[in-house]
Amino acid sequence: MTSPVPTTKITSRVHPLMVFALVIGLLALYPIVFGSFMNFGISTLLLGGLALSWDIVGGWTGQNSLGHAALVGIGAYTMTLLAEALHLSPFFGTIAGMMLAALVAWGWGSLTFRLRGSYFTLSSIAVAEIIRLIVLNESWLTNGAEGKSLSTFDLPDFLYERKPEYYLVLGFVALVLLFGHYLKFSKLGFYLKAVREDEESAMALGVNPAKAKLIAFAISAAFTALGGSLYAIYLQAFEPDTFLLTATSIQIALLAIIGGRGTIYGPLVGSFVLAIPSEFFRSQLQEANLLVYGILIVVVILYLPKGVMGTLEHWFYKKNHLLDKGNL
Amino acid sequence: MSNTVPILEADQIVVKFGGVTAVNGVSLKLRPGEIVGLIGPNGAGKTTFFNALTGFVPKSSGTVQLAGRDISNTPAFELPRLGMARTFQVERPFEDMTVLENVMISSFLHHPQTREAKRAALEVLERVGLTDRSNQKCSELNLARRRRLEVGKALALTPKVLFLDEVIAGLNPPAQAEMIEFIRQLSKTGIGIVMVEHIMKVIMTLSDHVICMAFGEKIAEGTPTEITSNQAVIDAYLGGTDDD
Repeated sequence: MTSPVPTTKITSRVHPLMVFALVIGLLALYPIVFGSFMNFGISTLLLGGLALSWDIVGGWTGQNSLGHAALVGIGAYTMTLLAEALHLSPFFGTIAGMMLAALVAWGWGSLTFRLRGSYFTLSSIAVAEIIRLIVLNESWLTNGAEGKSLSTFDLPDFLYERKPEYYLVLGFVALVLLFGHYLKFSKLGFYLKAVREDEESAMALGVNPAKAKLIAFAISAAFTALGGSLYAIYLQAFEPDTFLLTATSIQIALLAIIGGRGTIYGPLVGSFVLAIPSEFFRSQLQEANLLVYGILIVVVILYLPKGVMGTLEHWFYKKNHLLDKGNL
Repeated sequence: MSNTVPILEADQIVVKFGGVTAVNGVSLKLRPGEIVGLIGPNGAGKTTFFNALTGFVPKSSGTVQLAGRDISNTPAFELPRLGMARTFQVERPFEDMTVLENVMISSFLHHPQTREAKRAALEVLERVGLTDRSNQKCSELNLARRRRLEVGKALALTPKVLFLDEVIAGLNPPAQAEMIEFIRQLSKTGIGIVMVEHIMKVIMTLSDHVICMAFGEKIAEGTPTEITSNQAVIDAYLGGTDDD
């Protein structure tokens, strides 16, 4: 068993952090170029960030959660309630929300990760629904269906302005993207992918699948809660159904799936790919926009099953691989 | 070799699935550098026994000791850290990952740093002759290379005990010869090997000790020569008592 010339590289020719810097740099220019479309920019970027957070457990680990709305809600409510009751600064309130979300995910995962495949997905809808009903009914804590408003609090002024909000959200996206880069080259990321592909096989190589999934879910939850907290700041006022509906969970998951799961940038790309036509259809087609939106999703899933970035990666792999063969 | 202390000792292993007893009180001893072959007709319980020892099937009773440590109830994913590795009968690479990435999953066990894990994985790929395939996706490998990858993944765990589940059957003759020689060299490095194999000739040439199972029980054990002349073994294989 001898082998000729080693051709080893798991990194591409361009340093991955240069791509990261380019993406964040371009996104940072948005408020300057499209200053009059700030709401569109913030909401698209925010959804992208949530999809990126979902992808840690959904894409990398292959556990399709349809309950992430609950984690968005936990982030938004924790920050808001702590600011109201204890005058805690939004910064610390957000950290508290992230910790609470991670804790909830840990307990949630411990119970439901025993279920495999679609059963986990179904149970995630159920758990999220339970959390929604708690928020809706425990009015003493959450103000029930009337929701919460941040406008009465004494928050730092810049949190009421669109541009700083945009850059806060961009910071959130940058953070999750950096974590994606870390996953790509770290033991944790390799273990998560192994669990996604074949749990038994991963076990034979010393990977504890239950632990890997719990870690991924907790980290994903913490980032999602961070996004939820920023969402609340952006909206200023919200009610339970703003975040907690299953539709929100589905939207987050869809953006990641369409953009390309486990590909670092895919979920963010998905958010922009869907946001632009959806905005266009809404203004041009009024009521029919959801129909066209639905058709678009079906088309992407049918023709790009790996998602936009997954398909591109595959194409690059083919190209590089052919070059490698030529060298041998 | 009989004077060295066994690295693996399985005592009276019983596996029941509901009312069916798939493995009934089978024991096994393995010494460093020794190859134990496990044979038997289809449905004899070889693979179940194998899975019970490697923690993939729960044992109803019986104990397993690895290097003097009781691992009877240790979860499968902890065994590689203690020095046990296995392959799967139907090789199961992570299809969507490259050959190198597959082996890196294993080498991360002892090398948490990516750079080190990669270096260790490349060494293993060199040993199994897959260096030139390291950046290829596993879904593109042919059977012989997939088998070598499967063995490579187990080796990257630097095991003291290696379980090989039919790594030779199905290969063409040159690839078979290559794999046989490779396994022989492995055992010379001191690794104890338990192998399940359908091809009698392979078991007989490689094994120091052979265990023959039928109907979930051990019907004979001994050196390859003893086994081939054993009447119970001949009956099990030729007597039409196949319990499929």
